[in-house]
Amino acid sequence: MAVAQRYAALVLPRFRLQAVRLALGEPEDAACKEVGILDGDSSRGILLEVSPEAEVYGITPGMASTQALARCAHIRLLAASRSAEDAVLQKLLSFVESLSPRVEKRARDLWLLDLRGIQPPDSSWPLWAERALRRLLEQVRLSGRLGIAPGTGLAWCAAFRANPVRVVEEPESFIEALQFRELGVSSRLQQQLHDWGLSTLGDLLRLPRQATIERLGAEAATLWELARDSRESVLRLESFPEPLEIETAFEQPLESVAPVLFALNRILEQLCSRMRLLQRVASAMYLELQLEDGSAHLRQFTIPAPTREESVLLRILDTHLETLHFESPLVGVLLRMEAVTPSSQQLALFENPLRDPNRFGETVARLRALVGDEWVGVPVLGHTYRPNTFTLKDPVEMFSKKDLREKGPPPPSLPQAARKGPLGLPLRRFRPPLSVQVELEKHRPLSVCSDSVRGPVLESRGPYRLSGDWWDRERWILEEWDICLGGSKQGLYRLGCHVEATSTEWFLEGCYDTSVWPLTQIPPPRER
Amino acid sequence: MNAAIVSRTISSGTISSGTISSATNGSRTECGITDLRALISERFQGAIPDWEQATEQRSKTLPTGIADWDTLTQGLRLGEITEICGGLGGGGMLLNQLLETGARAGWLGAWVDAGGTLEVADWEAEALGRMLWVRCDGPMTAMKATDLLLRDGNTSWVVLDLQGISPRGLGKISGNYWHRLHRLVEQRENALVVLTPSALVEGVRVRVATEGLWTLDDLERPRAALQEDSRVRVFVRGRTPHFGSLDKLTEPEGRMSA
Repeated sequence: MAVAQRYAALVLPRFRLQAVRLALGEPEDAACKEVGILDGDSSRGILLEVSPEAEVYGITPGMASTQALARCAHIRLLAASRSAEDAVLQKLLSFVESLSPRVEKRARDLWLLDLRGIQPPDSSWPLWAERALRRLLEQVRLSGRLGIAPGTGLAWCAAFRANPVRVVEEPESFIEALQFRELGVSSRLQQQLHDWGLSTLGDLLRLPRQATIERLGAEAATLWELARDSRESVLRLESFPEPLEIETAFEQPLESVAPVLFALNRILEQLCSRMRLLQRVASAMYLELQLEDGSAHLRQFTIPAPTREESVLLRILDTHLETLHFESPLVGVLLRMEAVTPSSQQLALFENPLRDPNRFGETVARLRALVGDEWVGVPVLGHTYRPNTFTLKDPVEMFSKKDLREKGPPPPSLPQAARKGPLGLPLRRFRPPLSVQVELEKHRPLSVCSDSVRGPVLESRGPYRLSGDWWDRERWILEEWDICLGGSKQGLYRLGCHVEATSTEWFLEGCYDTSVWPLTQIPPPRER
Repeated sequence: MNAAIVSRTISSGTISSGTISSATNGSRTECGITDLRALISERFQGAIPDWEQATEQRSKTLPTGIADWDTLTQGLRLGEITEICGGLGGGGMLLNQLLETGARAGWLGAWVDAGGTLEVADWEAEALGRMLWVRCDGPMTAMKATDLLLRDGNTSWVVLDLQGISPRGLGKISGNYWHRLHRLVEQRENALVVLTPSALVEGVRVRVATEGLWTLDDLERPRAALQEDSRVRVFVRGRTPHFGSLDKLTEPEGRMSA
C-alpha cells in the first residue's frame, strides 16, 4: 500500500515581534505585554505587528504609532530589527533541518517541510508535531504553529487553523470547513464572496471553476489551486550553511547501540541531504559521543572513497560502534562531515585498485579491533640497517594509490639472474627474540642452549657486525651469526648478540629453515 | 562470415543445450555440439581457441609462474583454498615466487601472519607494498582475520601463514573453520593460500608440498637461483602426484587423470 505523502507547515506568528523581544532578552511573561513593532524607529512609523494583548485595545497592524498610543497609552513601541531577525533565522534553520532534511523557506515566518521517510513516535503525527513545537520553544525560544496535510497548501491552511497543532487526516472535510478569513483572503474578495452567500472554501468549490475565476479574478484561482493541490508538491529546498555538523541530545540516556544508530541514521540523512544540495561528498567524519559522566568519546573516520551515501557512512559508524563499550550511558552525539568536491575521473584508466574502498576501510577497522591498531598495515622498511625496523602504513591509503596498477618487478621473460632480488632464504623472525645461552670456542658459537632450543652448532657464518645511531642515546651495536644447529631442532637459525660495554646478551633472532618435513608423510587431499 | 561473430553466436547458444538446431536452406537439421565445434575449427583455423581449454579457463585461475602448478591447475585457482605445506625454507621460497607473480599481475593481497614472524626486510618491497600484513597473536585470531578478509573481497588473494604455529596451537583449529572458509572463497571467488608445517586443511583440492634441504651456503646465493633448485610436489585431488622444481617442469609419473 502506498504511503500518503505528507507535508508540514510551520508558521511563526508575529515573527518580527518575537525576534526583537528575543534580541532584547525579554521573557515571555514580561511586565508590559502590550507591544507593537514599528516600521523603522520613527515615532510616526506604521505598526507592523502587535501582541495579542495590544489587539485587545483595538490596535491592529497598519495603524500609525500615534493611533496606537491614543488607544493604549502604555503600549511599548519597538523598532523592527533586521539583524535580530537574521540571528533568529540562523537558529531556526538548524532547527527545521533537524525536523526534515527537505525544507523550503516560503517566508521568514512560514516554513514548509517534506515529511517523507519520517516515522512519527507511536505513528502519531500530532505527538510528533507537539514535540517539535516544544523543542522549538526550548531551543530557539520561538512559539509557532504546525499544520500537517497531504499537500503544502493544505498544510499551510492547517497551520493557520492550528492551536498549536493541526493534522489533516481527511482533506475533503477540512476544505469544506475552511473559512475565507482563515485563508488570508483580501477583504474585498471576502466581502464579494459574502455577498454571494459563500462563507467557506467548500462553498466556493461547488461553483463552476472557470466561470467563477472569470468573475472573481486571479485570487480566486489561487483558492482553487490550494484546495485541489493533491499532487506531490515540489519544494524549493533550502541550502544549509557549513560546517556540516549536527549535535543531538538524547531525551533519555541510551545504553544500547540500536537507538544510537537510529539517531545517527537520522543525522546522516540530514547531513547527506545538505551535501547533495552543496554538491559535495564527505571525505572524513568526526564523531563525538557524549557520556552521562561528562566524558566524551571522539573518533575521526577517513572515508576512503568520498561519498554522500547514507548507507555507506552508516556502515562505517556501525562497524565502529560495535567495538565500543562504555561504563556510562550516552546522552548526546555530534557528527561532523568534512566535505570535498567530488573528484571527476576517467573511468577504468585511473580507477582505484580497490573494488570497494569503503568496504575495505571497514574491514581494516574490524581487523584493527580484532588484533590491535598497530598490528595491521602495509609494511614499509625504515631508513636504517637496524633489524626489525619498519612502520605499518594505512592500507586504505596505500592500496588506493593509482601507481599500484603499474607493474612492479621485471617481466618473467627476463633471465632470473638479471633480477636484483634479495639473497638467501627469507627469515622467520621471533618476536620477541628467544634468549639463549651460547658456548663459544675461539670466539665462535659452539652450542646453543635455552628452554626450547638446544643443540650443537654444526656450522656458523659470521660475525656480521651492525651498528647505528652512534650520535645519540639510541645507539646500538649488534653482532649476527648464521648458524646450522644440530639436535632435535636442527635447522638454520640467525643468532644475535647485543654487545654492551660490560656484558653481551645472546638471542635467537629467527629461523631460516627447520624441521624438514619428509615428502612421504604429506598425504594427498581427501575427497570431501 | 566473420569468425568472431560465429564464435559469439555459438558460445551464447550451444553450451547449455548440447545440440544446436541450424536452419539451412529452409530445413532444420540437428547436429551434435562436437560436430559443430569440429566444423568451426575446420573452417576458421586458429580463430577459435581450443574448446576444452576455454572451458577450463572459465573456472578463473591466476597463473603462479610455477610451471608444475600452472600445468596441473592453471595456477592458483580463484574460489578455492590451496595449501602449501612443508619446511619453513621451502614454504618461504614458494611464497616468494607467488608474491613476485602477484605483484607482476597487479594483485592486492593480504598476509595473515598467525605467528607474527614475517621479516619485512627479507621480501621484495614491491611485493610487500601490495600486501596487507595482519599480525596475529595466535591461530584463532588469524582464522577470524582471514574470515573478515575473505568476506571483504577487495583483495585478490589471502595468505594464511600458520607455519610459525606450534602443533598444539594448530590442533585448536577445528574442521568447521576450514569448511566455513571453503564456502567463503567459493562465494567471493578470491584465492586463499594456507601455509602450514604439515597437511592440515580439510577438503582442500590442491596441496603443494615443498622440500627444503638448505645449507648455510644457500643463504648467500641469490634467491632466484634458490628458486630454481627448490623442489615441490603438487597434489591435486583425483590426479597422480606431480614432482618438479619451481621453474622447470619434469614429466609427470604416469598419466594424469582428467
